[in-house]
Formats: sequence, structure tokens, C-alpha cells
Amino acid sequence: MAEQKIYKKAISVKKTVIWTMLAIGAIAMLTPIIFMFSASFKYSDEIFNLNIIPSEPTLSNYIYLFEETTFFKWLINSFIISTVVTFSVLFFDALIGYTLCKFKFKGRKIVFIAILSTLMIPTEMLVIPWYVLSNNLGLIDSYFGLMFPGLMSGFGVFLMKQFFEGVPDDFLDAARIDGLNEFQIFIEVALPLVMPALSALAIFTFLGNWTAFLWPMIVTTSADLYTIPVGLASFSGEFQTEWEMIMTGAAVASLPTLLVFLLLQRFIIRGVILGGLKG
Amino acid sequence: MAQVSLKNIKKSYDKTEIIGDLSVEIEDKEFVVLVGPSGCGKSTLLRMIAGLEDITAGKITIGERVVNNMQPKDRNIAMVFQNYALYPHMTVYKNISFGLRAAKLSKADIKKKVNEAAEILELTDLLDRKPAQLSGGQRQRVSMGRAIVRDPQVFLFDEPLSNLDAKLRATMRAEIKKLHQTVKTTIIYVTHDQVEAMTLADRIVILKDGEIQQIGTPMDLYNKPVNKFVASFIGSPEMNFITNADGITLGIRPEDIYLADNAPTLEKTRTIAATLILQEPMGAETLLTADYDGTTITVKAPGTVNLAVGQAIRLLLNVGNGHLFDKEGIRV
Ligand SMILES: Nc1ncnc2c1ncn2[C@@H]1O[C@H](COP(=O)(O)OP(=O)(O)OP(=O)(O)O)[C@@H](O)[C@H]1O
Ligand SMILES: [Mg+2]
Repeated sequence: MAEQKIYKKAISVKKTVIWTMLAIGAIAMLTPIIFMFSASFKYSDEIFNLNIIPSEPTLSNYIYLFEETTFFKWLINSFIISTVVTFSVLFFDALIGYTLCKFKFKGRKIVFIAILSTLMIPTEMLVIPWYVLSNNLGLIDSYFGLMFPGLMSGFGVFLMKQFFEGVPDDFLDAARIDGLNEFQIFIEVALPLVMPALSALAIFTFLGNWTAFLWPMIVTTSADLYTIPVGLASFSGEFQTEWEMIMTGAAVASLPTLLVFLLLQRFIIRGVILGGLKG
Repeated sequence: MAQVSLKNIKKSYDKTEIIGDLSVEIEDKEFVVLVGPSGCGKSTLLRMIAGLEDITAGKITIGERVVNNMQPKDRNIAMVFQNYALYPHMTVYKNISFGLRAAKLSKADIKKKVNEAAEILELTDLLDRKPAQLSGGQRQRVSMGRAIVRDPQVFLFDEPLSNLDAKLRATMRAEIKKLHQTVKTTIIYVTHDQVEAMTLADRIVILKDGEIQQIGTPMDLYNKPVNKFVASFIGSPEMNFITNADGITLGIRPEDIYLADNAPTLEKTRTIAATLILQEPMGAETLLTADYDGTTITVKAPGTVNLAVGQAIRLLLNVGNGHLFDKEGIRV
């Protein structure tokens, strides 16, 4: 009995430590977000006060944002670009990863190494060649210009290839005997088996594009084609910065990211369970 | 009618030859078991028949048709895999009907076929489950169901029972035998378990390093092994080999050796003196391991035997049932 009690106590000490750490982490991460939401309901003269509850809460920032600025357009732009790029990355990266993993052909290793080596080049270095390319092809200030650098990613290929290694070849052979063609096997058999990886890749890609700043800023010139991060930056001018507008825009922009995460996270958790029981 | 004929089959990966020059004729409705040690090319051979692997040279005929250049789906075969290969994201019903849906059969036809197969394999109550919710034996039955609904001319099994525990394996073995009697198709079955081979096969093909050692009925192989390899592969525990000064080897099975005090009257015998080094009671019988001049001898003795390890014992060999092999290990 006595031993059991000590044991229980030990657990509760451990739990306390864990919960404390989690709480500290949560506070550190949530504080800026809380201030962001709080500021979005404040008038500009109150913006530098640290009170969390605004003294005179107002929706005027939101109304101004949607009625007087191009913000709604930026939201749509960001949404279209992130979605298209995400679907493109999911499809092509999975297809390339699958091919590199499951088919033997000459030059397979070299192709894989070439793709991996793109991971070692930082975006900052690629921006200039991309710009020259866009300029020559007339892609400046166009959706395609905004999207093309992200339509496939070396990281995604690597991730998908690693996950497909875990898919036994017998699954594919069984489908071949059942009479599916290679593309059907990819879509109907292989892809569902790597759902967790696809979901993770979708989250990374969507969020990465949603928050991307450098390239969208360089390739766009007209405000109609800005994405949210570029648009919000334009609120910060040479002589004054409209903080309440930046905060309101950022607050609106954070909602879809939450949504995407909540939506796809279920697949990751379910996928882990599925994988664990495979036998 | 579905005879399967393999003529002068060769297979190499790059420059490594896996299968040399292999020919075998399999009769319609025959149950043929391919056995051999790990890595001898059993799976490769089966996969070549299925069309999942190219052949380097030779000719494969299924029924009347040469299938060398045919897709797996056109060969009229079905295959059951060692790890079941059930799609985890589909229910049992979907798994079984997967190929039929791919072949664009009507919903009603699919339902009829799946229900028939489920009936044969006693899966009717499990059709809505996912593979993760099934036991190992049930999963293997589902993967057999997936094979049955294709109405194949030839069933290919690649070590279907090796992931199951000993007891379940015995049950499933019986079910596969029953299945063969029900569906009456040609079956080619790969295993490295000689018990499965002996109990299931009409004929056994023994492979080693991609070469056929012997083809015959289980009793042929047991009674007249053509070489030492076959002799030691078939039968459990393994045959004992005693080599004399001329290099001639006497092969004698554990069941043909008796404790001299306790032996029946036999025609041709030889008595040897040995030292007991291990005694393993199994219930009905007791396995004795003895040392005879540096050669280890296994004896299947009655379960009533109880000796002391280290004790000197006299063994009576029933030489009349023995096999003689020359220096190269070929039967003489
Ligand atoms: N894709 C491949 N590339 C190169 N060598 C291969 C390939 N597949 C199989 N082999 C080789 O071919 C030989 C036969 O393999 P196979 O899988 O047919 O053996 P097996 O008899 O089925 O063995 P096991 O009982 O372990 O399943 C092995 O030596 C193996 O290493
Ligand atoms: Mg094998």
C-alpha cells in the first residue's frame, strides 16, 4: 500500500512538471496572438497600451479592412495560390517519390540526388534567377509567376519517397494481378497508404505558401495581385505604420491556417493508428 | 483445363543467375508444392508464373496459351501473398471485390461472387470489418477470398501460412486442402516447411540454388530421395548420415533407429555403441540425441523411455530402410 502511494506521488510530481512546462510554452506562444486579436478591436490611439481588453472595443478595423482596402482580394489571392500549389505539390511530389521508390530504372540514383541537392540552395539565392526567368517569360505580376517556384518541392519528394519505402511491394503486386494499371495503383492503392505523410506535406506546403513573403513581394507590382503577407507589409509606409490594420489583417489571415491544421491533423492521427496495426 | 508448363526457364538479375535451366510440367487440377531453403528462387519462380517478374529465357504456358508476354491480369491466375497484402483502408468486402470492381463487373455480379466466396471461407460475418480488426487466420482467409472471386485457372500461394502460429497453421493447412477439393483448380504452392509440403502436395518439387533436385509424390521423396539434400530436407527430425572410410554415406531416419534392448525383430540391422547427449520428451515419443564417434545421431524413441544423459547406449539401425549415398551425395 505504502509503495503504491509513493508511486502515485511520483507520477503527480512528474505530471506537475510536465504541465508547468506546457503551460509556459503555451503562454509564450499565445501571448503575441492574444495581443494581435486584442489590438484588432482597438482604435489606433489605444494601440500601444498593453491592456488586453480594449477600453472601447470596435469592429471598425474589420469594416475598414474589408471595405476600404484590397484586403479581400489579397485573401482570395493567397487562398488560390496556396491551394493550387498544395495540390500540385501533393500530386507531383507523391508521384515522383513513388516512382523513385518503387521502379528500377537507369539514372534513378542520380535523379534522386539531383532533387535532394535542390534542398541545399536557399530561396534567397534562387530569387534572382526566378526573377530573370519570370521577366523573360512575361510572368511578372501573374498568378503563374507567383506559383511556379513552388509547384514541386524537393523536400516533398524526399518525404514521400521515404514513406513509400514503408509500403510493401506485395500491395502493388496484388493490385497488378487484380488488373489495375500502374497509374490506378498509384492513386487507389499507394496514395491511401501514405495518407499521414500527404497530410503533413499538405499542412507544411499550405502554411509555407500562406506566409510566404519574399518571392510574392518581388514578383508582384500591382496591389491587386498581392498576397496577404505582402499586402499587410504595404500598410507599413515610409512615414507611418497602421498597426491596427496590420493586426486586423493578421488576425483574419490566421484563421484559415488554424482551419487547415484542424482539418488535416485528424488524418495524421488516424494514419498513425492504421500504420501501427498493420500486420 | 489449366496445365502449367515451364520450359527451360532462366532468370538472372543483372549478371547473377538465380534460376539456371528449369523445366517442369504441372497437370490440370494438380496441387504442386515448391519447396527449398531460403533464397533458392521459389518466390522468383512463382512471380514469373504470375507475370510479376520477367523471364530471362524460356517459355511459360498456362492452359493452351503461352503467357511470356502477357500482363498478370490476363494470365487467369490469382495469387495469395505471405503478408496477405490486404489494403488496410478498405473493408473485407472491398478488399475481396477490388479486382472485380477494376474489371468493371456489375454491382449484382460482384455481390454474388463475394458472397459465394465469403460462404466458402466462412467470412460472411466479417465483410464490414477492416483488416486491422481481423486475426491472422481471418486475414489469410480474406486474401484467399480475393483470389477465389477471380475464378482463376491457377492459384499461386507464396508461403501463405508462415506468419501464423503453429496451431493456426495446421488448421489453415486443412482449409487450403479443402479449398483445393472444392474449387478444383491447379495450385502451385511455395513453402519452406516440409510438413506443409508433405501434407498438401500431390507432387513436390524440391529446389536448391535455382535447380530442381527432385520431383515426385511426397512418399516418393520420403522413400527414395535422389540425393543427400533431398533426404535431409524431407522428414522431421532430419535423416542421420553415417559416413564410412570409403566415403559412402548411410542415411537413416530417426524413426528407423531403436534402442537395442527394446527393438523389434528386423531383417537387416547393424548395432552401434553411442553416448546419449540430449533427451527431449515430446509426450508420445522422446527424441534422443547421441554421439557416435563424432557423428550426431537422432533417434525417435517411445515416450516411455527415460535414460540418463551421458549414459552409454546401444542403438540398432534398421539398415533395410536405409539409403546409401556416394561421395557426391548421389543415391547409389
Ligand atoms: N529484385 C532482385 N534483384 C536482385 N536479386 C534478387 C531480387 N529478388 C530476388 N533476388 C535474389 O534471388 C534469389 C532468390 O530469391 P527468392 O525470393 O526467389 O527466394 P525464395 O526461395 O523465395 O526465398 P524465401 O524462402 O526466403 O522466400 C535470392 O538470392 C535473392 O537474393
Ligand atoms: Mg520467397
